Amino acid sequence: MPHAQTWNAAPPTFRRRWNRNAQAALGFAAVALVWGVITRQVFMGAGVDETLAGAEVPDIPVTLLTVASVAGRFTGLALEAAFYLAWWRSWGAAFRFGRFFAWIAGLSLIDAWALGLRSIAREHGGAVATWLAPVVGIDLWRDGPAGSASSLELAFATLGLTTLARIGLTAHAQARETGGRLWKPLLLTSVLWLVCRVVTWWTLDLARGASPMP
Amino acid sequence: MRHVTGAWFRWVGSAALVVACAGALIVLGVLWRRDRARVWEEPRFRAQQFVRLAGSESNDKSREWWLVAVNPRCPHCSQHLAHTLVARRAQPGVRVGILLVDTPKPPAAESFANVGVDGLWWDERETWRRRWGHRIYGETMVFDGGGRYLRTLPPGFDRPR
Repeated sequence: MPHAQTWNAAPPTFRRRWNRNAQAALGFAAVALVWGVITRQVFMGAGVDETLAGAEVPDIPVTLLTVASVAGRFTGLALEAAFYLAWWRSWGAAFRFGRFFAWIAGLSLIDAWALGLRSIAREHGGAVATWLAPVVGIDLWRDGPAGSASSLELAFATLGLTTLARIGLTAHAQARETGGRLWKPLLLTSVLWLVCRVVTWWTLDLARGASPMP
Repeated sequence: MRHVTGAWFRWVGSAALVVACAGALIVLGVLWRRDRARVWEEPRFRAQQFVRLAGSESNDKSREWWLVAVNPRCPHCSQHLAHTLVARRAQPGVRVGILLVDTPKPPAAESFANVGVDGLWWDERETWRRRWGHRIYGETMVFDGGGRYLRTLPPGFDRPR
């Protein structure tokens, strides 16, 4: 049998699955690329390159740091998806990890977009920062010398409309998976976000002691 | 809601997840509460408190002493020290010193010979961490000429936020 015929003879479900996997791989690659570009810009803006250049450690290129950061972000997203999987499965709901992971990886682009806007706001300051603050993070309203922000302020720094959109859409993705109503996943996602912020606040305080935050 | 075949142990699973998360949060909260309740000593720069490795005495006629907390294994500390030295240029009467922290044995003073600081001390008794409660390497503690604490500048303080 010719190869083409063998391919055509494959069951449609296999082809559909192959197409779906290829699409998912392309989607993940696109998300990783966007995160890579944004993260690199943030590192360069923060002067990481010059900081590393002056360090007495083996020279670590910013590209390597960017790759590590993107890998870390995807690990975080996988953990987030795993938590929701464990939660909804424990309540007896059908929940597919891969599909949900792909959803929240896509939704993370909202965070990437917000991060990019925050860099622009910090660069321009003034009116740009004032107007973007409700969208990408209330800390843009704060005016003070470096190190004067408390850990609580830093933990909730990114609270804005993009955060609310991310919470709402993550809840919507869960509702799609479980087939249930929106309010339960919305409550769960909101509580989890709040808990994560509180953990960040306490961890920052434990890390800094009496030192001011950089 | 679509349900897969289930049993009572699913409730145990969700309860275990909630208990594990709540337990971890409570442990962190207790640690945080205890740490924040600690009363730290106000820093004071007295030369006899530290082991002087190089440079002048602290209580001289300088207007301010800027003491940079440096750990020899900290990869960013040299850059933060360089930032502090650059910022000092605009501040007449300010002297910059290095306080080597969290190190059981200080590196040889010769390794800092070309750094351009006015003093080098080793915090042998871990005063910086255990009595003052400071924990971030690369920060700059500012004291007046008499050793009285004024403020602490975070690492990279001269860089715009």
